[in-house]
Amino acid sequence: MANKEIYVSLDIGTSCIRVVVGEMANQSLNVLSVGEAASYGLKKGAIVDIDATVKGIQSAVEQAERSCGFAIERVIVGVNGHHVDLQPSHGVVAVSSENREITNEDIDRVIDAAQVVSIPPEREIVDVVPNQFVVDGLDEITDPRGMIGVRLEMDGTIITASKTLLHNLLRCVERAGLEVSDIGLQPLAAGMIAASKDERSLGVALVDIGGGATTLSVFKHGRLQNVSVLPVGGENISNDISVGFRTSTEEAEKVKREHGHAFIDDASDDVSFSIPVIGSDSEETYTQYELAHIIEPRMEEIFEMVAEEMVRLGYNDLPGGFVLTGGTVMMPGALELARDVLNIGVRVAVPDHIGVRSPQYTNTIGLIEFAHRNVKIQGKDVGAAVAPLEEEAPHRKQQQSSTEETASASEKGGNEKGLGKRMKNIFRVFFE
Amino acid sequence: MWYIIGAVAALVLLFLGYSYWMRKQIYREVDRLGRRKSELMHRPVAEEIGKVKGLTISGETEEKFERWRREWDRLVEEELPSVEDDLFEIDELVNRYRFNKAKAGIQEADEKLDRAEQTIDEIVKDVQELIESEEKNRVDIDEAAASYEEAVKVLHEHRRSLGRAASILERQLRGLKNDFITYDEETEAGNYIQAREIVIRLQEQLKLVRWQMEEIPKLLVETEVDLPREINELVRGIEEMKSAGYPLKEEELDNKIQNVRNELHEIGRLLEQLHVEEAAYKLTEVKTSVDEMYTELEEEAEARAFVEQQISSVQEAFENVQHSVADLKAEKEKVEQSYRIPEEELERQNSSEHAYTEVAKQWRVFEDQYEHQKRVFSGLKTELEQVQKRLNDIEADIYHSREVLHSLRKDEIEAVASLKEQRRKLKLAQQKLQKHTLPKVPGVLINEMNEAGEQLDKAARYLEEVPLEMGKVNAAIREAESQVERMENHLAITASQARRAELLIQQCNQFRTQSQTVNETLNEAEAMFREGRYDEAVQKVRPLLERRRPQAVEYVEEEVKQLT
Repeated sequence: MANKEIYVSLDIGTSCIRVVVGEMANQSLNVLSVGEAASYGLKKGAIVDIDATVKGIQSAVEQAERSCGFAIERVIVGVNGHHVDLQPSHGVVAVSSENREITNEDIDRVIDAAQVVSIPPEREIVDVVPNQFVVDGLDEITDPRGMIGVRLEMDGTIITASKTLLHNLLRCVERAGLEVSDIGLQPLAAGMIAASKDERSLGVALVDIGGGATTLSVFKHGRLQNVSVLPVGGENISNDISVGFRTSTEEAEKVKREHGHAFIDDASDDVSFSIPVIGSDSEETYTQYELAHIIEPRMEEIFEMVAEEMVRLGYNDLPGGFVLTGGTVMMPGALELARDVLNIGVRVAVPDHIGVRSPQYTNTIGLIEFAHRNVKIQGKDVGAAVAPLEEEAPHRKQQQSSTEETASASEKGGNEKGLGKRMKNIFRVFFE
Repeated sequence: MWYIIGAVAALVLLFLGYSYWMRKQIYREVDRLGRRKSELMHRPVAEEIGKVKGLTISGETEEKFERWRREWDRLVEEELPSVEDDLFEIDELVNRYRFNKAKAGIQEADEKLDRAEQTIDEIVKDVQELIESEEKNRVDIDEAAASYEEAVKVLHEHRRSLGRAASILERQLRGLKNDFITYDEETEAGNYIQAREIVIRLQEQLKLVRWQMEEIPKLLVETEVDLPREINELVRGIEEMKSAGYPLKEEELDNKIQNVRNELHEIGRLLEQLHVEEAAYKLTEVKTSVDEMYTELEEEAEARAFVEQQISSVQEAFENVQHSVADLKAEKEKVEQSYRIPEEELERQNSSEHAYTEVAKQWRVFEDQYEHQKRVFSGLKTELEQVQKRLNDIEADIYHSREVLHSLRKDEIEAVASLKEQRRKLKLAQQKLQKHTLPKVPGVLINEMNEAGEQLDKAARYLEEVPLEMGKVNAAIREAESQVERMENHLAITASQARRAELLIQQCNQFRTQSQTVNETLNEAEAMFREGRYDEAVQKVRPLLERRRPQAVEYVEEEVKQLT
C-alpha cells in the first residue's frame, strides 16, 4: 500500500472529536476508517480542558486505528473559525532556474514572499491559500509549475489565528502522541466539498451548526471571503430541553438525538418518550410535538442570527444560497425550518463517501481533500500518516512522555521545507 | 333497810359532792368576771380620749370628745360597779345552793361586760380614727396641693394642645381651689372627718383632671390631625381606585365618610366638654369604621387581582367544559347507536348539560359585569369562585360519564389504543429510516410501509362506522399489527445489512489500490450499495475482506450489532 496517499484528519469539536483515515486514489477519496469520541474539553469551540481534550483525541484515534488496523502517526488538524482572520497577500519573486522554468522551489519562495506582512504579535499564520498565480503579467493561473517565465506573482489569502488558541490545539494533539502534518481552516476545507465550484464562484454561505458554535463562511468569486462564529449550537438545544423537561443534560442530548424534530408543523404527536425528572424517581412522558416546541425556537434563533450576520457582513442576497452542514442539521425538520426562516435556497451538504455519509463528517472529509490539494499545488508533504499498528504503539508512548523531545526530534528530522518549516517556527514560538 | 339507808347516804354524799363541785365552778367564773371587770376598769381609755385634746376641740371634735367622756364616765361609774354588785349577789346565791340563779347571774354579768368592752373598743377606735384622719389629712392635703400646682402648671404649658377644653379645665381647677379653702375651714373648725372627705374628693378630682389633661391632647391629635389625614388619604385612594377602573359603592362610601367626619366633629365637641371617656369610645368606633373602609378597599384590590389572575384560567376551564360537554354529547350520540346507555347515566348527562347551560348564563353575566364595570370586584370574585366550583363539578360529572361510556366501549377503546400504538411504531420506523440515511430505500420496504399505513387507515375507518362491528375492527387491527411488525423487522434487517455493506466496503478500501480486481469488485459492491442492493453488496465484498483481514469482519459485525 502506498502510504504516501493516506491522510488522517482530526476535527476537534465541542461535542465530538472525529478522526477520519482516508486514501486518495485516482483523485478520489476512499475512507478507510472513522473514529469518534465524545468531547468534554471544549466550550463554544475553544479548549478549556487540555487533559479532557487529549483523552478525547486518543479515544477517537484508537477507535479509528482499531477499525483500519494502522497506527496513526500524523494528522491534519482542523482549526475552527474562532478568532480567525483572513487577510489578502501578494508575493513576487524572480524565477530562479536558469532555463526560466517555474519549479516547486519558486512556488515555495513566492508563498514565503506573500507571508512577509505585518501581523500582530498575538497572532500566528495558519495557512496561506493561493488564489491565483501571475506569470509575467498573465493571471488566473492555478498551477504555474512547468511554465516558463521571469516574474512569478501570487495573490492569496493569509489565514491567521489566535496564538493562544492555536497553541492549545496543537498542544492537545502533541500530548495525544500525534504529529501535526498540516493545519487546515475547517470552514475553507468544508467549503471545498460542501459547495460546488460554481456556488463558490457565484456566492454561497456555508453554515456549520456544531455542538457549541455555528460557523458561517461566505464564499464568493471562488474564494473564502468571511468567517464568523456564532456562539450557539446543538448544546444550547440540549440545555433548553434539559431545562424545559427538568431532566439531566445527558438525557436531554439522548432525547434530542432519538426523537428531536426541528419543525413543529411536521413533528408527530404519536411519538412519545419517557425521561427521568431531576430530583425525583419518577419519569415524565412527552411527545415529539412537545419536544419540537423547545427545539424549533432555538433553531429558529440560530438561523435568524445567521441571517442577521449575513446582513452585517454585507451579503443581502447570495445566488448560491445557504449550504447547511454539521451534526445538528441531521435533525429532522432542520432543513424545512431553515428554508422557512432564511427564505432563500437552502440545502444540506452530505459527504457521499462510503462510511461517512453524514453532514457531521463534512469538516474531516474537507480537511483531507484540502490537504491533498495543497500537496499538489504547494508541494507539501502531509501524507504517509499511518504505520503498521504494532510498530507505532511504542512510538506514541514515547511521544506522550515528552512533547519537547518529539518537537526537537522533528526538527532534527531534516524536513526543513514547506509545512515542516512552518510547524517548526510555530513550535519554536510556543515552546522556547 | 340498810340498803335504803345506804342509798340515802349515797344520795346525800352525791348531792354534797355535786354542790361542792358546782360552787367551785361558779366561784371560778365569778373570779374570771372579777378579773375581766378589773381589766376593763384599768384600760387607758381616759388617756386615749385625752389625746384628742391635742386637736382643736371645737365643732365635731368637741362633740365627739364630750360624748366619749360621758360614755366612759357612765361605764366607770355605773355599769362596771353594777357588775360588782351582781358578783356579790351570785356569791350569796351559791352559798344558798341556788346554782341555777347564780348561773343566770353570771351570764347577765358577762353580757354587761361584753357591752362595756364593745363600747370601750368603739371609743378607742373612733379616737384613733379621728387622730389618724387629722394626720392623714395633713399628708394628703400636701400631696393634693402639689398635684394641684402641677395640674395648673401643666394646664398653662399645654393650654394650646388642650384646645377649648383648657378653659373648662381651668374652671374646674378654680373650683378645686375653693375645696382647699373649705378643707382649711373644716380643719380649723375641728371637723376632721368632713375635712377628710374633702381631701378624698380633691384627690379624686385632681386625678380625673390630670387624666383628662393627659388624654385630651392625644385624643385631640387623633381627632383633628390623624384621622382627618387618614380620611383624606382614604378619599384620595377611593378617587385613584375609581380612576383605575374600580367600580366602587360610591354612595355608600361617601355616606360612611360623611358619617365619620360628623362623628369627629362630635368627638371634638365632647372633648371640649371634658366627656373624655365618651369621646374615646366614639373615637375607637370611628377608627374601626375607617379601618373597615380601608379593608373594604383592600378587599376590592385583592378581589381585582384575583379576578384578573383567575379569569383566564376560568375562561380556559369554561372552554374546556364547553368542549367536554360537546364531546360528551357527540360521544353519547355515537355510543347510543351501538350500545345501550343506562337510564341513570343518561340522566346524569342531561343534568351536566343543564348545569353547563346555567353556568354559561352565569359566565355571560359575569363577563358583562366585568367588561362594563357593572359590579364591584369583591362581588365579581364571589361570582367567579362560584363559576369555578360549578365548572369543577360539571367536569367531575363529565369525567364520570366518560368513564361509564368508556366502560361500555372497552373493546373499542382498546382497539383505538392499539391503533395509536401501531401508528406510533410506523412513525418511529419512518424516522429511523430517515436517520439511517440509506443511499436508497428498497422498494419492498417502501411498499410495506405504505401497506402498513393503509391497513391502519382501514382499521380507523372501520372504527368510525356506525353501528360498530368490533369483530371487523379487531381483524383489521390484527392485520395492521402484523403488517407493522413485518415492516419493522424488514427495516431492522435492511438497516443492519446496509450498515454491514458500508462498513465492509470501507474496511476493504485499504486493499483497493492493491489490485485492479479488488478495485473493480469494490466498485461493483459500492454500486450495489448505492442502488439499495445491500444483501448483494455484502455477498460481494465479505469474501474479499475475509481473505485479506478476517478480524475486520468481526469488527464490522460488532459495529452492526451495536446498531441493532
